[in-house]
Amino acid sequence: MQKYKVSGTCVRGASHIESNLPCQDRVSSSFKNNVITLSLADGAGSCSMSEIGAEISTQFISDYLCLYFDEVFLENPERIKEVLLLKIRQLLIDKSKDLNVSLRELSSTLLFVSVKNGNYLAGHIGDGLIASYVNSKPEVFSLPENGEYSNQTYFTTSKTALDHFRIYKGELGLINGFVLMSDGSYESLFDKNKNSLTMANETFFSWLKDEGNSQEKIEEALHLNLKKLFTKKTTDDCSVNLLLINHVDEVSWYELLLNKVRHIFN
Amino acid sequence: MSNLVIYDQELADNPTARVPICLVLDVSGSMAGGPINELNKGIEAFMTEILEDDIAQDAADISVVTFGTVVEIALKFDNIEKQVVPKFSAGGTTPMGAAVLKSLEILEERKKEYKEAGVDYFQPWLVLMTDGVPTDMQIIPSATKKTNNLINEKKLTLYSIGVGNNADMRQLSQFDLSKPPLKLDGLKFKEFFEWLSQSVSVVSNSTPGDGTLKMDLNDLRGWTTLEL
Repeated sequence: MQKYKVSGTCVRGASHIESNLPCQDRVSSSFKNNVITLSLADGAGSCSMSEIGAEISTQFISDYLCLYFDEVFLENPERIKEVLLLKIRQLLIDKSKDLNVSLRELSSTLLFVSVKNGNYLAGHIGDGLIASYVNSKPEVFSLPENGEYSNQTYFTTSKTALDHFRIYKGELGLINGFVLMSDGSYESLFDKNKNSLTMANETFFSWLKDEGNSQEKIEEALHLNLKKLFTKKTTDDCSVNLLLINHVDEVSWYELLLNKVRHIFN
Repeated sequence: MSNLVIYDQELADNPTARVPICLVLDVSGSMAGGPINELNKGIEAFMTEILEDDIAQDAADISVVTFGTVVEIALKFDNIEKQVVPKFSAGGTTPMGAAVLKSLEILEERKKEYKEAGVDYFQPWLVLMTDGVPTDMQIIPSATKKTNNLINEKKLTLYSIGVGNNADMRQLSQFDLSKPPLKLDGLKFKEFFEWLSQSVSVVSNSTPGDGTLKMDLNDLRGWTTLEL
């Protein structure tokens, strides 16, 4: 069985402050039915209500996968992305009608990871990066997908979103954590020259592993550090969402019980 | 105060995404006198404005191709702080087609250099300024075909600017069939380059979803005479 710890935050970037735009990144996490799901979405800069689209997408995916993890996990990746994207698009269409804006105004990227009973299910549209922690060491799990140019990527509302929606599923094995990052945070957490994740990813994970650190304490620290350092390296919003998976050894509990029984009879 | 602290050395120091810009400038004999003097002042102001903008100075990657007596790369792509812009002098004819082809060639080479170095980049810009009529008409069709193909594929942003009453606006319009060329108001080179540096700043701040730069017609009023 697994025990989980999550921490996430979003920080408004300099260009958004200057343009009087809200933070358009969103993070969400949900734990129900023994399923943990965390998600992150980065609203498109030029779209006036993209933070609403990001909010809808992250909330939906977190809640939906906590309810239907088993059913979704059984499907093949093609079917999974069709179903999830259809549901997200319908929510966005409904919202765009309520707000009387075009669907495009609710554009965002989407990254998520969901875990249950030693299995994971993950998805990614657009830029940003998903890293996994394998035996506590960060490894690239899903890379950003940009166009040729720096200010191009794919969104949940893109015509070709289905072609660019990447689904991953499998057994956790030695994976004991994940980090989702927006493209703003990616500038600090991924070294493009070395093509590798930076030390800060390990530091974040050590915070999660320290049992003395509550979720609130880590989120406060993440927020302060992102605001102080990450926003110096980009003018974009920055967000991260972290997950620690503690694999609790079930055999050891069984052995513990057995030892107690032996002790009683001895 | 939380003891959970990240240090700068734990983070990446990635290069800023570049905006490659090639200024293709007419320095033919007809530019002699006031026009070439104002062009020189305008370029100087452009470089100064870029250097004064924290983000644009890291993002802007500038080269200059001139056409007059010869077509030449007057300023190679380099770190803007190391670049010394020569003073241009007017002379010769107007080999505009060859100059445009040369600029496309160096923009393409620059993109290859970015890719090899792992540097992100924005869509390249080509700024064409002329006060006359091309004198290499045999090359113009291949040059206009190339620019339009690149524009249609969203691989190039082109600004065509006519200077003075003798600029062949019809010919200039052939380089970008998606939007009309603009005409400089008198010799307002400085105002044009101020606008251009601000546009570089806007693009270098843009994020996914912003798309390509849309010209704000009100912003153009300071330097163009076109009816808007």
